[in-house]
Amino acid sequence: MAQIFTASADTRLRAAALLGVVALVMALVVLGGYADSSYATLVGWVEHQPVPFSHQHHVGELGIDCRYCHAAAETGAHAGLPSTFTCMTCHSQVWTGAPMLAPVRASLASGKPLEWQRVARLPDYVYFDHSIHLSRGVPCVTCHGRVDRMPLMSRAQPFQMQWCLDCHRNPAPHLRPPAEITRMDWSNWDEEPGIHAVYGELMTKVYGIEPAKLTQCNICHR
Amino acid sequence: MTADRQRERWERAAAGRPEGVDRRTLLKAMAASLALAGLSGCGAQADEKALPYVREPEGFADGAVRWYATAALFEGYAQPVLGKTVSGRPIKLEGNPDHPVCGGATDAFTQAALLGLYDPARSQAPRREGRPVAWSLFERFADDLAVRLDQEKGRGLRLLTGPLSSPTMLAQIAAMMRRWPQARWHVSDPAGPAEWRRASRQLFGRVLDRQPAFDAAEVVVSFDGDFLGPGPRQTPNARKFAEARRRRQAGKGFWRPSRCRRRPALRPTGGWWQAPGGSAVC
Repeated sequence: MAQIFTASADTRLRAAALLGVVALVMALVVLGGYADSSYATLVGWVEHQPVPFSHQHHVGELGIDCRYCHAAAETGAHAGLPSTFTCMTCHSQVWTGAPMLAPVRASLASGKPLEWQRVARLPDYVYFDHSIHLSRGVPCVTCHGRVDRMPLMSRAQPFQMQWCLDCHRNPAPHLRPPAEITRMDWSNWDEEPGIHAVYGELMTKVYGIEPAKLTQCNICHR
Repeated sequence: MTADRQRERWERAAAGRPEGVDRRTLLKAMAASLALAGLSGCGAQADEKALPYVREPEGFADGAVRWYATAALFEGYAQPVLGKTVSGRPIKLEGNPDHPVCGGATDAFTQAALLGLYDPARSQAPRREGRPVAWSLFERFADDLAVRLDQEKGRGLRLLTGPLSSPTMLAQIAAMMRRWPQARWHVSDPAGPAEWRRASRQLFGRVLDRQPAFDAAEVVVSFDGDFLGPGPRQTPNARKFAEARRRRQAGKGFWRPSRCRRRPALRPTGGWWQAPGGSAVC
């Protein structure tokens, strides 16, 4: 009976298997890199908005408090975006004719809402309550970044599960006095570890925060 | 929808499976769809728009729960309910505990009435011959129609409604019938108590509603009537019935509901007498 396989068949099989393994590893590396890249997480990417609203100008230069516009931040499940009426409380007096603000005036006149592109958002399968994070003293800057340095709004953190868990596993170092949550610059707090080192530890006890419970699946996936 | 298009659609549906697609191709297409659906989990999030209010309601907090006292119709009768809303979206109906009729209870139909708001077939605009049109077009149509009907005393106008009990709407319809006496009003109420209406007209000379006071009765005899069964008064009926039974259990008053029945229905145990032989006697 003749040979079914040639002498080189074994070599070719080994080469193919090796190639397959290499391709699999490469695919995993590429997928992993993509998932962590800013292209997928949208960190630092600016969305096209109907009005080029500058947080840098309103927060950094004018010093308007976050809660003036995001009024439900401390009470609602979502911080919410300001109504057209809120914009017009000031812009009916200042910059009344600015072409940049034409969509806002059109929205007030027609009664049709402005259509903003959402920047900070979570997938639908995540339960998130904005108010509880603020009432326990997680400052705005922790998740939203230095918005006072953003001429156009972009995502500051990847909003991945890993990132959420980093804080839920050990919330103490992230806690600040709830009265000052809208403060953007906490460098002097971080520079004085002696004074503030115990604050987070104490407040987790005061609030009854148990990290073991915060990492249970159904805390966020209900 | 015009008759032509309706027939066309029916013929298409009656023809069944389109030509040239065999079982194998169909399964292949299904498998491909399934595999591609899995891929959608890998992509980045699609852009999502946020539409804030133009003028925000007082005390609005995004994502917070708000309750409104309102009414849901069941066979034309308003059922007192509290509507639970999140961000302006109604998500649950509960009985209004402050309303004397229901005392916080609802029936399954009122609970399910919420789904009607999210019915994809729910019309978002007025329709003319099956096609959605603008309200302004309807207004012009109605104006023209009113002029013609005034001349002809309403001849040819037919109004079709569901069962109604709203005094305002009944008064409006009555005013319309006075203005156009030759118009006709039809009520579509396939599951309504048509027999009871006929009976009450025979008995009392006019159409009356039943409002059984089970809590004041000592003996209730029902002949093949499912008086605790589904209907717009099922919530107050059940409530009064339960109240009377509680009184009897507490030793106050004589309370003996009896029923002759042919078909099985909801039947609380205890204190019941059933006619022997069922249908034969009743």
